[in-house]
Amino acid sequence: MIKGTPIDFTIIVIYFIFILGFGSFFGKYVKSTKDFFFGGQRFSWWLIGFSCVATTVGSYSFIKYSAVAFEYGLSSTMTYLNDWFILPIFVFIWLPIIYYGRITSIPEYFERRFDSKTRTISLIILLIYLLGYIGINLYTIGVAFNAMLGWDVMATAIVIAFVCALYMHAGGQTSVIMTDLAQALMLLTAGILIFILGIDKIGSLKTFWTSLPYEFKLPFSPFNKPPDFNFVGIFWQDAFGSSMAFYFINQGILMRFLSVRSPRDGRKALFLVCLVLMPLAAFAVANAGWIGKSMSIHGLLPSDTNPNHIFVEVVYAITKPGTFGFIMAALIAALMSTIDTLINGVAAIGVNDIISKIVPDKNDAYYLKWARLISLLAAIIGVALVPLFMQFKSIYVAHGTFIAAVTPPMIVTILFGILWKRYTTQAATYTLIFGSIAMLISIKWPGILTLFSHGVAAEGLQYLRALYGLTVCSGISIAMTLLPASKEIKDLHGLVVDTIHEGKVLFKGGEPDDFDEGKIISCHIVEVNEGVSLSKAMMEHLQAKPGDILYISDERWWLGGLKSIHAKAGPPHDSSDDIILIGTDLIVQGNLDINRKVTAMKII
Amino acid sequence: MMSPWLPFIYQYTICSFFFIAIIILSIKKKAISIHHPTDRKILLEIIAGYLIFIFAHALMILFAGA
Repeated sequence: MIKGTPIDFTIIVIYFIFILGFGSFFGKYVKSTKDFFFGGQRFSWWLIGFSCVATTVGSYSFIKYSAVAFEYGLSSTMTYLNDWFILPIFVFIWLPIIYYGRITSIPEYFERRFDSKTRTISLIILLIYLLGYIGINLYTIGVAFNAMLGWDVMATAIVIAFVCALYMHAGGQTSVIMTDLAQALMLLTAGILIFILGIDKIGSLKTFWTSLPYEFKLPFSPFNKPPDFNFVGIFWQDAFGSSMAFYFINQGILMRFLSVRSPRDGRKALFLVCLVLMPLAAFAVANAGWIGKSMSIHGLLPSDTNPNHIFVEVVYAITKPGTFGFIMAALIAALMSTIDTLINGVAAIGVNDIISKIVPDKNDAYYLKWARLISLLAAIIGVALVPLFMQFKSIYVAHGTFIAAVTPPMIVTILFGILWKRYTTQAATYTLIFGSIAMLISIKWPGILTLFSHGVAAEGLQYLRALYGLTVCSGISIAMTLLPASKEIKDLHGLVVDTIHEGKVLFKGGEPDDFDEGKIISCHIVEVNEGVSLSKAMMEHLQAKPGDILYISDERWWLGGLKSIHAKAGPPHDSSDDIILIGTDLIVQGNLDINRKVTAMKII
Repeated sequence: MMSPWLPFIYQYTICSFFFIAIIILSIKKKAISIHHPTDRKILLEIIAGYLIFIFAHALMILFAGA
């Protein structure tokens, strides 16, 4: 049944126009490939945090998690609430490696840590992962809009990919981050709105809660059953498969954390994501299923409602024209905020790992043109992959199978690469090649997964593919590294846990001093020919010395660092304490307004 | 029906092993230093966050019957 009124369609069209205009507006801040891919490394932690959540929540999230929430209850949240254990490795090891190492792409890390051959293999796997991810998101939104509004699946995918690619083409990473903020707020608001309207429809919060059965209220599903949503399979697939892939091999997320003004802000962003925004997002994407369950118990919805349609049915039942359109627009927002990140990621890999290798030594404008062209190309390929995902039985199976099949070799290689200095290039190459072959074998002969079943029935074994992959790939990695002939000595400055300090030295060009955070100061700009200089008193206030890297930003915090710049502190000046001398080129580069005050802080 | 605590114990046993091993490795390899206030503060924040999740999941199981 086609749902939606002219008001709803109008709201969706307004949303498209708004997001296209808003995203394209930031094109004026893109002057180089650094701006296009990393937004000039200037953004605040809260902006990056919201952006990460908008990326995590894809269009499939509302449909998929509402479906499992309707069938299995609060355990639908478990996939969003098990990321925290990854924090130490991300915050203490991976973030400093990528940030101070100025690593622009995952394949680049492979070349610097191992060799060019592993870079090529990882490039192929990564492109399959990213382009496939774009395809599955476009497919999901196509299915949702086909059911709700009667739109053709392919036509929907094409329209959305086109809008996304257009604003991405203009503003790159800055557009991604800024539109993601709007989209994250929109999808979280929509999720909370569904719950409020749903409770209103049911009667009260108490009526809702007491109507739900005991098993439905548990935070984890039963250990090894049912086959399609058991705890142990989901745990290995999501906590160790999807989450690890998200934080370690998703090029878009890597670029997001390289866009922060400092690793300190990257850490804060991750805290915000894991502790606050992910629980909120888990609630937002799944509560339509819980509301649907309670409504069906109270006879407000047919009890035999198809779980895959529950999100649409609940939203349609509890909203009025206009609100329905807003929630559908939020669904599109969830999709676009995921896809724009992936498109930007593909463009970065395309330029850094393909074009600059084939056509080296060109100027930055040449590569910027290619970045924009590849953004459009990635959107087209994503649309072309939609028919492939149409062949799967359900969205959950398609998504899970795809992630679990592609990611383990890459995850294991990166983890061993950053944690184990002795881990060799040969071991990495074998892990990528034979690990991928092992994953293909498990798809062709799923019976092999029985070894890892934990008592899960045969129909649910695909969820344990991640555990199988991680075990096999770890085995290959360890065996190949421990071979007597495979010892190697390599320059690993800043690329493994042992050498993070050396990475900081290389980043700064001197001994780092990032322990004393100092204070943030506010001062007026005075334009000079070049460099940055503060008074001696202000330098002491910042606990900074000449040669330290400073972050100078427009004093309006809500800009999130849009107008800001990193620069090395020069010798102190003798003028007034509330004055900062800044070179003309830095003012232009940071989009700073000389009539406004700026804040300054020491980075390292 | 299996105990609702089994998934809880399984998840936090495996995750805690990974969590603690990485912290020990980071300290041992000098990626962080517990003698520096900033690093110590981050470490305590991360451990506190982890305990919050353990506590929240345990509460959810306990209150499921309410």
